Amino acid sequence: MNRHSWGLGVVAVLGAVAMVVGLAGGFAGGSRVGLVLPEPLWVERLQRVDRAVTQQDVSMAVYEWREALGAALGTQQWQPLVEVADAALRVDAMLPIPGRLQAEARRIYLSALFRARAQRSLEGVQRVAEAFERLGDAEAAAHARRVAAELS
Amino acid sequence: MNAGVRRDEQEPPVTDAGRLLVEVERALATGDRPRAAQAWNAAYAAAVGSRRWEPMIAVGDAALRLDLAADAPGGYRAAARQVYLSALVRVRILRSADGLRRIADAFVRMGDVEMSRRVRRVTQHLS
Repeated sequence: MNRHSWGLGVVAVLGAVAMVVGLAGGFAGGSRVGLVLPEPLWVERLQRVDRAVTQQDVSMAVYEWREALGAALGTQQWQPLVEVADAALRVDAMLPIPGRLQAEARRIYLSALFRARAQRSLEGVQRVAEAFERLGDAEAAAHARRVAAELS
Repeated sequence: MNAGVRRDEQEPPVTDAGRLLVEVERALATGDRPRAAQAWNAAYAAAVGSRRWEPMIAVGDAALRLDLAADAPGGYRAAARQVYLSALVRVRILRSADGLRRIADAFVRMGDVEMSRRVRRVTQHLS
């Protein structure tokens, strides 16, 4: 490569960098004028769950709930799991034979507890403890409270 | 009234789960995931009602196929795991070596090698 073509290469690279910076600046500007970030997938799916619950569409509620669970599991955060488990209880109440999703909710709260503990989130652990209390699972609630005490 | 006879009368025939699982496959083939999920729920109920492990494993396998079709995979995978574990409880009660092998294979399909090993250890105790 001669000096001239090498120089053109540098100009091209600088031009590309300038374009990227320019685009980033554009996005930054966009945020100043109200760039709306999309809802996380689990939030969108939970909204669909609640719509189905409102419409008393059991099949759709269960279907969307499974999608919400998949999305929540993929986040690595505790909050989506707690929200999805809460939704499981709402859907469970619609089932002809309630109980199946309540059992799943319990397992999901436990997973949320593991995540919250790993992330040292006192809020997360307390949310799970409250959820277990609502479920009437005193043993699991006491365990979550012990974890909360360790964290605080 | 004989409570046992009443339970049997309420029990859906084993073929119900099979028929409903065919419906799951048809719905998946046409991309109608809500209908597939609806049929899966019914198949699950039928399999639970049958109190047999074979339909439970079939329902677990179908859950994995539903999971592959999901926008956000993971939800049906969790369901499959629970269904296989329920089948395991039944198989242990019946001391079915064939059932244990089938469940161990199912966990391998899920990629859960550790669980598969644990099930195989139970199989060795039976034989």
